[in-house]
Amino acid sequence: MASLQETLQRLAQGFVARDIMVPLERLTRADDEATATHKLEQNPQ
Amino acid sequence: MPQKGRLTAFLERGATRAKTIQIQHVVSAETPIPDLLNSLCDQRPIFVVGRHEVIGLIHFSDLNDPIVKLPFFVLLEGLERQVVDAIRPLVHEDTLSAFLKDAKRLVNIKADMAKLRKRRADRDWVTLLYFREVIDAAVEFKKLPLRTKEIEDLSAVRNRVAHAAADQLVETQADVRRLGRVWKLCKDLLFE
Repeated sequence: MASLQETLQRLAQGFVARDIMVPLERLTRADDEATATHKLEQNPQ
Repeated sequence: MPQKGRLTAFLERGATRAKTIQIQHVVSAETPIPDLLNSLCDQRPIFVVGRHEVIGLIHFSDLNDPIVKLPFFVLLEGLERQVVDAIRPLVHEDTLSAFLKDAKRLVNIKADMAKLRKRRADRDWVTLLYFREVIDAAVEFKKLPLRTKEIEDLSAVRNRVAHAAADQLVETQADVRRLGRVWKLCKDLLFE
């Protein structure tokens, strides 16, 4: 049986970047720099 | 900005030129959340890579996702349990004043215990202490080698982790640095 310390360590490391990232589909994207600048200006916040 | 469907560059607000996404801008999708803290202190945002391409983005404000509280809860609860076990034999009515400096709190905790004993509840004194008081007692009884700043960091993060209605876990990048300090502190105290 794993020790309590080993279990704590495993649990604490079990939550990863993928769990909290904003997925690519939800990012505002553009094909070039000019379009990206335009989109940023349209979305000031 | 995607190239052949892949995101390869980004334009920061206020910048005039796009930056190519480089190694220092990325983390693996499987990077444990606490290991992101250093990167999120230095820069914002960071890109998440899975299967050799960018699949997402993390801004430091994403650390307010409730999931982030879970690894901290695990370690803080483990630390509190370890500390409570260490101080339990040392905390009794005569030693309370050594670490409870607020006279009103001292009166209240004694009144609470009196009520419990009247109801024949079998509780020891540590069960009535708040997290901060547990840590203060452990420092007083030389069971934890912590400085005041470390105690404040631990208490602040623990309160935000344990209470859903508390302040956000991070509001500024200073809060991200504090999270990093608390993570390291918990690991040092629990595992080394």
